[in-house]
Amino acid sequence: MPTITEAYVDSLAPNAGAIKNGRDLIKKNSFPVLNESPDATLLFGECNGSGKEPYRCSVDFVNEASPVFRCSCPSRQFPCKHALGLLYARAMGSPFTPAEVPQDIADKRDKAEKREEKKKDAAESEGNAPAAKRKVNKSALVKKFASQLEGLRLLEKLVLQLVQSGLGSVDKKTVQMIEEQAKQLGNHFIPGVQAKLRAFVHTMQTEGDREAIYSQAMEQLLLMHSLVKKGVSYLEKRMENPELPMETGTSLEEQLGHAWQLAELREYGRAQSGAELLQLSFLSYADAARGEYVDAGWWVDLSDGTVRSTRHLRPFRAARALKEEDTVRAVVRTEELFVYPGEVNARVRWETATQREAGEADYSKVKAAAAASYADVVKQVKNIIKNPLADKTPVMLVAFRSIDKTADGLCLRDAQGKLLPVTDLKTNGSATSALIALLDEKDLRDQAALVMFSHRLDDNRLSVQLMSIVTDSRFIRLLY
Amino acid sequence: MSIDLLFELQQETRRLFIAGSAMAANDLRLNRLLPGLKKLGESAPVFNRLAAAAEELLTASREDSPAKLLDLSTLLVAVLYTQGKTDVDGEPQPIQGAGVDLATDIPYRKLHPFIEALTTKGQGRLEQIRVSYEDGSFLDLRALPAVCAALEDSYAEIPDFVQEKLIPAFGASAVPVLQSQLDLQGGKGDGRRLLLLHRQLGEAMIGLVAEGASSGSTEVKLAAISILGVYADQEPLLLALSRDKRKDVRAAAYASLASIGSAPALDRLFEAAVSKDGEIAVGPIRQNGSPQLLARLIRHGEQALASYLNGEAKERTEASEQLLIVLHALEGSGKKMAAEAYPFAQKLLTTAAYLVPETENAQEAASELLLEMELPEADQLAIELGNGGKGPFVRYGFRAAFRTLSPSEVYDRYAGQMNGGKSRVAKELLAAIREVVYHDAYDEDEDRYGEPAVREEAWDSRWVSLFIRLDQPGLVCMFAQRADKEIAVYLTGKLREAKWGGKDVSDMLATLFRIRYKEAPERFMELLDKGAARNMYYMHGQLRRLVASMPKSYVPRLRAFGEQLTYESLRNEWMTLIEEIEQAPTSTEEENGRGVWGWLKSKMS
Repeated sequence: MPTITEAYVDSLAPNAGAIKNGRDLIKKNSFPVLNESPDATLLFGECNGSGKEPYRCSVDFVNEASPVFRCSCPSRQFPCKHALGLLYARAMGSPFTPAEVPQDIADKRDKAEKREEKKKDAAESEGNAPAAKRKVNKSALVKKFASQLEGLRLLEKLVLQLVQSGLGSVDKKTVQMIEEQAKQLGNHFIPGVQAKLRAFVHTMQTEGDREAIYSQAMEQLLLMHSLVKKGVSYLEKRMENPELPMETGTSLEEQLGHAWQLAELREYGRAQSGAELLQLSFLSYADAARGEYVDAGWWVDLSDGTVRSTRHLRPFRAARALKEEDTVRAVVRTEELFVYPGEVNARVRWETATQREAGEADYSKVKAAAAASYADVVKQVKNIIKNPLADKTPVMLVAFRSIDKTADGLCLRDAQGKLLPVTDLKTNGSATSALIALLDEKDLRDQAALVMFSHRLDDNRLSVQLMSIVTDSRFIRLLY
Repeated sequence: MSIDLLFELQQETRRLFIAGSAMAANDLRLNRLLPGLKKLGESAPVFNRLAAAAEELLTASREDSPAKLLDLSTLLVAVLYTQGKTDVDGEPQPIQGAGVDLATDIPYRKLHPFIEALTTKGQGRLEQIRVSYEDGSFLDLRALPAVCAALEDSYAEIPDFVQEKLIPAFGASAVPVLQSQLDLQGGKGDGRRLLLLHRQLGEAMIGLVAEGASSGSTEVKLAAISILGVYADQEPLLLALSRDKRKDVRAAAYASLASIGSAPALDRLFEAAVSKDGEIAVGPIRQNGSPQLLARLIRHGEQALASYLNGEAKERTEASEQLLIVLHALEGSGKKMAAEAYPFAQKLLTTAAYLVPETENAQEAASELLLEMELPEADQLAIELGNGGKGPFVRYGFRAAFRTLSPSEVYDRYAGQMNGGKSRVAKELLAAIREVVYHDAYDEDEDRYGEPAVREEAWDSRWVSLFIRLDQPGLVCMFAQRADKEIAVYLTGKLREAKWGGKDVSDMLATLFRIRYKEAPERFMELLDKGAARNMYYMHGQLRRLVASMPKSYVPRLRAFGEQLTYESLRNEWMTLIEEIEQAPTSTEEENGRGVWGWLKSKMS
């Protein structure tokens, strides 16, 4: 059994509420029975609930890396607060009496073992015959393309109509009509495009500064226009020749709404073996237009210094049952890292991973990977964001000589004396620049920072938000 | 120059997006930009492409116009994205770090709810802040600005908690943030900031405090003045502030002068006490308690009494107000000042011309003072005053008598004055008895619920029969000592008419158990079965104790009653309690229930 610390239990919890509820059970002294198997692989106990019978919960560490939680409560959260409470009791040093493994759990263990064996057998027999390449039903694919194209053309018509009559003429009735159209797009296998139209509806429904809303709406119209153009030409080509591979040079497929499967990524050679990643920043926000929470992480690949991103999506409707991601402080090691197609800060994902403490050697690697010249970085960023479909807020690692105070805020200064103005992006929630003046002198000289670029069209200014600062000895998270 | 032109073009396309591309045909303002674009196109081809796209838009038909506008704008925006400016006004200087030594290691799921609770509005925020405080996850650099800003929160308990717990836990780390947020002209939050900064920095910031006291906003002023009270050298400033035109500022200045306590400060307090500020100066004077100042006030009081007796109507009102102030200032110092205060109080209370209904407040204050002195002659005077049956004196007389006379003497002296219990004297007496009982009994047993029981040796045993005659069930409960027939008959009779939740009902039951009346469990059960299940709402301490006093044989009936309880949480509590009674060791039961209670208590702690 691994040593159980409170932080470890926190990390197992699906969300902050579960942490609190689990801890409250200890406070309320709700565990009349706490047991431990003689071989120290199983913790089990009874927890008082609202009913007559207590809940029987257990945590099985037969496989240390993936403990199994069991509980007789009907909660859909997993692990439930009772299993967490059991672990908190352990972490806080409550006494556990040795007892034999209950019969029902012993049975379940047996069954699981048999399942494993079966799986292994199946894998072995399959291993003899090479895995067949996935078959694609061509006629079905062509049908799908046709439907997607139809959807894109529907959107094109709508966008043209809107531009012709002007944003000023959009009233409640028009917005309702667009919403209807967005619903219709749902039948055309292009959820990404549908989400962009929804985002436009959301913008037009926002109350407040009309001018800012128009600016945003205009950008969204341009984005949809570009997406329709690119999407149509791509899909037409694939319709002519369904044998063509999927687009992996850009994020076009994802923007249209394709959800990449790991098998596909493997097929297209986008699985990288053996990677170590360190999370540099984290943020969770609600995307109202898409109706989901987004847990976004920014990571650096310690082997080459590339900045990657992760995104876990939790639809509002299912949010309670899904695990809320959190800040990760340790270095994550994975055997197989899947890299999604995309231009900058490509999204990554992994199935299994182990963790190790991050240390100064890692921080030095991160610092070494930071871009030294702002002239180069700015050029690179401009080259990225000029593409109509690109992510307009790329995240970069940059080195700085100092952080300076200007007439109206802060700026970063590189070794050549070039400056990079700092502004806080409203969408990121917190004003990180307010924290800078509190730091230590040595953290403000010759260090590296993770920054998010943004370009404001209204006054044509390119600036950055500070997300984290990496020094030789310390890692300062300004966001989360 | 070229960027300006691009910017103008962007403004025009934006305008057309709002107005509609249908308006673009031959648009004058767009047209005007064309020559410039073409000219620039000679050196940079991208301008030519823009010029061409703009021209196409100008000549497009209504149907084609949206596509042309989108194409033009897409190209233009792409160009603009390559032109973003990163220059900075002025000459930036490296920022000076404050060197706050705090980590940034708290994970999102813990830190975010905390910061949300501090920065938003709505329910449940204090609870979240408490949780974060308890598990220590608030100690993070990123939370610091929000924590200090929450001193302004409109839900007062949050700034209180922040001020008392959170910021002190941050210690010196909070100083730079508090300093940067402090606005001497600000509101209550800034007053709190000043107090917190002073707590960290002490005398080093006395200059800023003095500035706040003399020129800050009122809220800041009040906080600053309260700080100044520990700095004797700030006396001149405080003296000046005690003449401020705002009353609350003067009150704060008096309080700080009282804690400085120098001769000029006491002079000023005396001056305030005898002027129109008397009311707000009383508190500080009482807190300071300087015998010289109090003696001076007593002399002033004597003069006031003289002018009351000799003066006209107008002077009388003024003098009686002055007298009240003097008496209030003496509150709590009666014993210490007895030598000077006794002659004063005696004169006041024995001067017939002063004992009129208009001065009743002062008479009561003087009587209270008399008891405070703990002098035999003062107690004697109080008893004598009470004899007249006049005004409120009988109450004070009774208290003095209880202190000085034997129980039977007290009974003999006062029982006769009760009559039917309806006269003013009787009411005053009953109130005095309650007062004495509470005062005498309360600190003996901390977790007492309901009415206390009197100490048997302190009271004459005849009282209880008197209270039964007067039909005072509350007092009967207090005075009942053992299960005499008279008491049992009275209380059970009362209970028969009563319903659960009625006045004194649970006290009467508790008394029956206390005096070990053997039918107490049955009476309790009867009452429960008389429909108590519908108006029993929560398990209060006395109810818990009553149930715990029941013998085990009642468990089935108590359980059956519990099943009928309307409220689930009460039902659960009830059932748990019943189970505990069942589990209690049998030996304890012999002690008539009391043992079960003790056993339960030891189990709960």
